[in-house]
Amino acid sequence: MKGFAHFLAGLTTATFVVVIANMYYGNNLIANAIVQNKALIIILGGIFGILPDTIDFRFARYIQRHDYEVDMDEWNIDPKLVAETLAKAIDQAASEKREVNVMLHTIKISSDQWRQYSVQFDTENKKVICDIGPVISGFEKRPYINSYLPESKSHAEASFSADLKYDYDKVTYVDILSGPDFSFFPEEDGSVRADFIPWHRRWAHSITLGVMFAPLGFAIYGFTPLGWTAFWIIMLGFWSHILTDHFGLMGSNMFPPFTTKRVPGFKVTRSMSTLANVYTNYINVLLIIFNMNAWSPVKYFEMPWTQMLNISYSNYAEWYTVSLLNYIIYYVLPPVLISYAIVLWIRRKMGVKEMTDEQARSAEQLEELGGASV
Amino acid sequence: MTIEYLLMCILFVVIGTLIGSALSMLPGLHVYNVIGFFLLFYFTAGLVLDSMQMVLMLIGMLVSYAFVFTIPSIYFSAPDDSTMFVLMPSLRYLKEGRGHEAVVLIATGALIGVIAITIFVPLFMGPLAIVWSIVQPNIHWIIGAVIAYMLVSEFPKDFGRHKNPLHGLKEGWKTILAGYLTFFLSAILGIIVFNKTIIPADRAFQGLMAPLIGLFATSSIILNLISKYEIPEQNIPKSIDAHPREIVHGSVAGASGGLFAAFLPAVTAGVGGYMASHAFAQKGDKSFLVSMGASRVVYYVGAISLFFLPTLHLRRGALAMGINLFFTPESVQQFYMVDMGIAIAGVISFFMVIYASRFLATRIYRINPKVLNLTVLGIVIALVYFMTSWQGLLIMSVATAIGLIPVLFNSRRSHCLAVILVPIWLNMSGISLGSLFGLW
Repeated sequence: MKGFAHFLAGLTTATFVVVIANMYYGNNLIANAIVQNKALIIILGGIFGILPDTIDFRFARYIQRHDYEVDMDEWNIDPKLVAETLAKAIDQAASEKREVNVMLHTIKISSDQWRQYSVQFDTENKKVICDIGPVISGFEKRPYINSYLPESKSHAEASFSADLKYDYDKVTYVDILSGPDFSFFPEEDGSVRADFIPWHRRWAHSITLGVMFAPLGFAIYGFTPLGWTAFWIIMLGFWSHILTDHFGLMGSNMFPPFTTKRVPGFKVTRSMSTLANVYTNYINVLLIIFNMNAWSPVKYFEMPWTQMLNISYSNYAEWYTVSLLNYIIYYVLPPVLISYAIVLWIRRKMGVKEMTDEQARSAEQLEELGGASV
Repeated sequence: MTIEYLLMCILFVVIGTLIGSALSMLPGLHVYNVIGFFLLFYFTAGLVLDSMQMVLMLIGMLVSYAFVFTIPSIYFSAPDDSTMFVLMPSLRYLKEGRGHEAVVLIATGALIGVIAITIFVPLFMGPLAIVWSIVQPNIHWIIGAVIAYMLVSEFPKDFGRHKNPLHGLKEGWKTILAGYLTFFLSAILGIIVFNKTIIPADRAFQGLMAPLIGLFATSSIILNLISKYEIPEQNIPKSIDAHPREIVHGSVAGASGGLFAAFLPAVTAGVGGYMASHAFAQKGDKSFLVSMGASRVVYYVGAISLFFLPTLHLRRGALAMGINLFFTPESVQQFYMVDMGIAIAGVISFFMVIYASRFLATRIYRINPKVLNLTVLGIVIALVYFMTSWQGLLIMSVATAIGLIPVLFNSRRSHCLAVILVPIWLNMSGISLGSLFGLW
């Protein structure tokens, strides 16, 4: 998901923690601290909700070591270098039985012009193919028509001998901002597994790290009800990031150091998909509004089911649960389902093809990086 | 209400739109700076001028400003706090001879924003009032969350080339730390300006002009002056060649961001639009430019619409506060009059901005960029001096220095918005930092 969706999911989680803490401590204790004493405890949910990506993109990527870096410029373009380096890394991972990492840098020409190139892994014929593309303009990625190179200078292939497991889209384009890194892991059956951006969604996207951060709540508020609430907000806010990411394909490494591989995601959506982000944010905003109303001394809206079932506010837990269910069914789900049906209808009418699993997996990983695409 | 009265009201909207359009062409001049003078004029001529007609004229000025300020932002690179985000893509468009295309994209978003306000705000009167009642006691942490998001969501822009991890961290964190420094200095400037500005007391209502112009306009002009570039002959295409999906995506994102900004104090159109572009996972310049046009209009115009909304009467922005000095919205009829005024002014402003852009696009390449930027800088300095005296120039110089930090270090310019966000957030959270800076 985009950082904003994670931040909002963290805030939403925090509002749920506040509701539960209110039930536990009674007297609207935590909500009063927020509304009357202007406590900023909920923001912790947002900060820790976005933190896993912050750690990865601000720290982890710099710790990652690369065995090879391919760094070309406009005056030294060599597709053979790209293909041969990747082929060599694949065979090296198989022969030396270790992870081999390759960084492919982008080719920057000016502040908003880049030379695009692509790499393709042909697993059947055991070849890496590199094609140098046109100069493109910034974020629009518009090609300059007269910037294409002749095929003799733009195409190269290199062979490798190991068996390569490659579950991504065939072609990866390296174009703007920061390029992708490829990781080649030796598998137990002697083959080599290829992966993108190895530093992302590893230890920083873990249940373990969430548990380790949680005591910071006590450091801020002490061993008070607010401190315990902050403890849960930090931990669950952090976990909300991992959960929302898990709806995509890439997944996360949940329990390092006990586990070393990413657990594949639920494959419900692509984490950078516009629809997925919009729906996540919409649901989060509605839930935050519901929770703020739930802890407000004056209820600005009441759900009809509580009146139908004659559940009074004095029985808070029951009142809250029924209201939430009613709210989700009346207000949260219908707009999502109706708009999704409309989108599906338009996509079918316009003949938009769904991505294959491989394409979606590549897109998810590279879109997060921003410097490459499929 | 008679037909004559209605026609008079429409006439005042048109007059306001024309005055606003002319004034908005001046780089650096915010419509709020001028509205103060119009209010002074009204208080002396109030006996002969109908208050509703005055309101409609001011609304015409505001709507046209929201549209037409795109012109100085793009052609003269003199943005304000809400157009600074379009500066990078629009300057790129200008250098590629596509300045007019950028203006049309922004104006399209703005027109859709006006349509959204005039149709959806009346439709959602009830829910908006409920949401406001719920949100009001929680505003301190919501604005705090906006600030936190601005600070934690900026990632390094170092393109991944580094000798070792330490070198990488140093390169990557350069932009982030520059961003934090910008935020910190802007926040201090904001606290000082909000608590005890040095601008003469009789011009105190122009207190924000100098810091905002310094942070966003003069810093951009100085950057243009030191960088070498040519403005090529601009192309006037028959079509903007944007996919309907880009227009819809940009409009929905921008309108949502603008409404968010109009609803909350301290959050401006730029921040709202930029958060919406993240929330809607926006991709591509065209969608982004459309969204910024929509966000800006919904922010400025939506604020006035929310002020007249019968169930809400939310006072946001200098215009709502100014109008509230002589007018208290009371009836649904007044709301629909305002809605009508917004729609008429929106349509006129749309065509004004398109024709003004066509006029400039066919001429701008003949002017040397250095001469153009020096002229704009001269106009901006003269305006600040005229409105805020030499003390304002002093504040503007400090703000310009702060505004140059993100420009030089390639960090987010949105950090400059701490000048408004932080003082208001501190105020909402009951925190007083004025004494820290000798302000008591």
